[in-house]
Amino acid sequence: MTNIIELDIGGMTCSSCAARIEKRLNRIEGVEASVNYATERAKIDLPEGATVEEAIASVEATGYSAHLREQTGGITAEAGEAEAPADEVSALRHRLIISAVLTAPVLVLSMVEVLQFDNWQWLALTLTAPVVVWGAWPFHRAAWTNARHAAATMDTLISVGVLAAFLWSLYALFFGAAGDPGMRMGFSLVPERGAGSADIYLEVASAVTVFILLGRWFEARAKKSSSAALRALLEMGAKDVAVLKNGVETRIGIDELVVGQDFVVRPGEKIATDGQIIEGASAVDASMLTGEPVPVEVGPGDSVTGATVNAGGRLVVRATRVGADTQLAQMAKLVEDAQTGKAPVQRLADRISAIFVPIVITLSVATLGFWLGAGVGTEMAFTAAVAVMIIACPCALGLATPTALMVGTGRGAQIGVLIKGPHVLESTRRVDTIVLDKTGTVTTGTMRLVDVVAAPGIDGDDLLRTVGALEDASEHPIAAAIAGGAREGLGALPPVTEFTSLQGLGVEGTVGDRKVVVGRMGWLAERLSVAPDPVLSSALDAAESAGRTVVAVGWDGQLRGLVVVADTLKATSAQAVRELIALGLRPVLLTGDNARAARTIADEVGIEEVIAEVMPADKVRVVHDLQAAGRVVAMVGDGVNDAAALAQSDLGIAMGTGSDVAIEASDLTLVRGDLRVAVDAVRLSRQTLKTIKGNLFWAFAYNVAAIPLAVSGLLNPLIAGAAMAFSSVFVVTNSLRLRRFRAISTSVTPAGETSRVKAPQEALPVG
Amino acid sequence: MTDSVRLVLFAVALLVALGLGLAIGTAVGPITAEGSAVGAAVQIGEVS
Repeated sequence: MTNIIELDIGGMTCSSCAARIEKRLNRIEGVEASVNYATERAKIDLPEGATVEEAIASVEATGYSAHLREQTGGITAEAGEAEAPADEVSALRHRLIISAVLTAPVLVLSMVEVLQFDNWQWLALTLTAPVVVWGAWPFHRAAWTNARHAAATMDTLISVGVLAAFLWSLYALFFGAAGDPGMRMGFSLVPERGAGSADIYLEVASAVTVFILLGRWFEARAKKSSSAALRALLEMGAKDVAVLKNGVETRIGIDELVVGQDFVVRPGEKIATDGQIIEGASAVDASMLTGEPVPVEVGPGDSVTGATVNAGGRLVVRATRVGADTQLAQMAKLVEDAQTGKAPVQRLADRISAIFVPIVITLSVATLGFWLGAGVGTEMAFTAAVAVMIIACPCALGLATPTALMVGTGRGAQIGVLIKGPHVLESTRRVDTIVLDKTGTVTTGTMRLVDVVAAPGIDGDDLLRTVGALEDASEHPIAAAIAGGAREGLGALPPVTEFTSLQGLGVEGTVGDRKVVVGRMGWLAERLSVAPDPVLSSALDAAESAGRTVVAVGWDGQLRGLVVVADTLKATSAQAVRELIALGLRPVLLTGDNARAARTIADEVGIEEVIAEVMPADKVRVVHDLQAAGRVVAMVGDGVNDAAALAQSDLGIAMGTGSDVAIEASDLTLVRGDLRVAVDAVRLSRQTLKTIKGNLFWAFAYNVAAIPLAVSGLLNPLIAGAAMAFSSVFVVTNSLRLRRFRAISTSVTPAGETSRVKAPQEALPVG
Repeated sequence: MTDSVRLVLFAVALLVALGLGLAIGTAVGPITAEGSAVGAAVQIGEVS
């Protein structure tokens, strides 16, 4: 039995810090920890016997702060907490602005020789000192903390580089020729050799600090903006609620609401929490939660979701789920989990970062030794060594994965795709087959009355009224479809007496003075001991071959007609299948229907491969068989019986309209019941992975290319600092491009009509 | 491995790196460069 906890980690400045904390935590026996630099959080799987205090002490022993993240899950509590990064951004901005203002004159004076007046170097020193000491303080502090624990991180590189440049300048000013009143200094892209102790590097020390601060500020802003979607999601919830007690409304905070309490939702108000309507009818706008643009009509008995807006009349709702159990909180948790996790590719980057820093410091010292040995002078040797230290800082490497992941999952949440974890991204690239569970995925899963066939001499309306009345007493989905269709076409239905349901066979009862029997044709013909009329027989054949379900009706010992119901195909399924094929996936239709009916539906949506007559329990076997045949399988499903198959598949995609179990077992959750969102999910995941790889390539390529330049003394430390900051900015900007990801499920259709999931009554009947 | 052992090992590694660098630099011989506004030509083996 393990206990999963989350710790908020303070004091991390780069991914090396995260790697160190993770390593330390994983040293505790049985502990599995994952530390994410971007979210500043550690997710720890504590075994029995290990305590939270032990984990916190372990983090603190590495020189960072840690405290247990509250798991209350309250929507408002978490939304408030999400504001914290704003302070970090503004503190960093102040430090950056002040440092930049002080650095600008130093840069200009050092680079433009004609502006250099007598004793200009002392003014430069005065301006640089606060930048190096105060501006770069976060780097020095982190470097010192790490040094005390015999560790080196990116901050060590920056701190040592900046201090080395500054201390050298102090030496040159006080003990060399640089302090002379008439000292002049030019600027070159590469360090000059043999300049003696007359050169100072104050502009290097201050500008590098400013550039790195700029990179950190961008990083902090990216963290803030990429989690904006999650914050927006959490802030959607209502803040207070009008509770109904003994007919009196009392307004209370959302935190005080408990399950079972009735509350009032006025037109235009947000529904406070998930619940069931007790009174009133209205249209509910769930667009901000699901992206579904059309308000859904609801009435007594219907379930409503918290944070959706009541667009119509007054509703009285009974709370069924509150706090962390609500759909909104669950969605936020899924997004957060995905952001806290780590892709395998990110783990590689962390491992590289952890060994990179000591290697770079060693390389820098070796460079210093080489140039000293080569007799180019202390300044040149020293400059090359500082350049190595500065250029090598792999900050961009640490940012590559987390930023892309955060932006990608954030964008996913906006378009109705919840990515459960970074491991999912790799899976979306590898899958080549997509198994679509028919009911609820390709079709709406809702039966609808499509045809009434009366025997010769029987009035169709009379037949429908009679069968509708009888079926109205049953709770079976087919019965509900028939009763609904009858009521819709004929109005109120007559009462039924002596109703009996014969499990799995049919129903019987008395409507008026008729003893009515409704059920499958074979059973009914046998019970009534009559052969079906040829008209009814041919209608039965035609309907069944089209994949429809046929119910026979008889009374007074005679077969009186047939009622045909059908599942309805989602209007967007065919387009979705086309898009899936375009993505290189091979769609497979999986259904319990007979092969003929399954084929009809598959043809309608354009699927070639059909696996029919599969019992719910055998779905796992089907997925397993496909995998055994060497295929990498994605599975889309929504029902409880799909959960095992979703877990077995390489990529489980659950329709959010389905059961919680299915969602839990899946890797990707689609908030809407539109199959095109699955296409978006795969496209977005692949795009995110591509961005991560692109980021990693550029961060690596940059370091690999620049280090030899710096070692060979061909790189001015100032340019090295600027280029390094640029690489961080590039990676962050590249990741932010994911925010512009265009979803096909929310785009405008070629016909010019905004596409949407059609309500069952608008959807197309199958067959 | 304790923190202090790691520190000592790292210090030794730094000393070795510095020594190696010096040795290679000396072996390669004096290097001079013609500085310019846009770049530097490195001439290996030329006496300054």
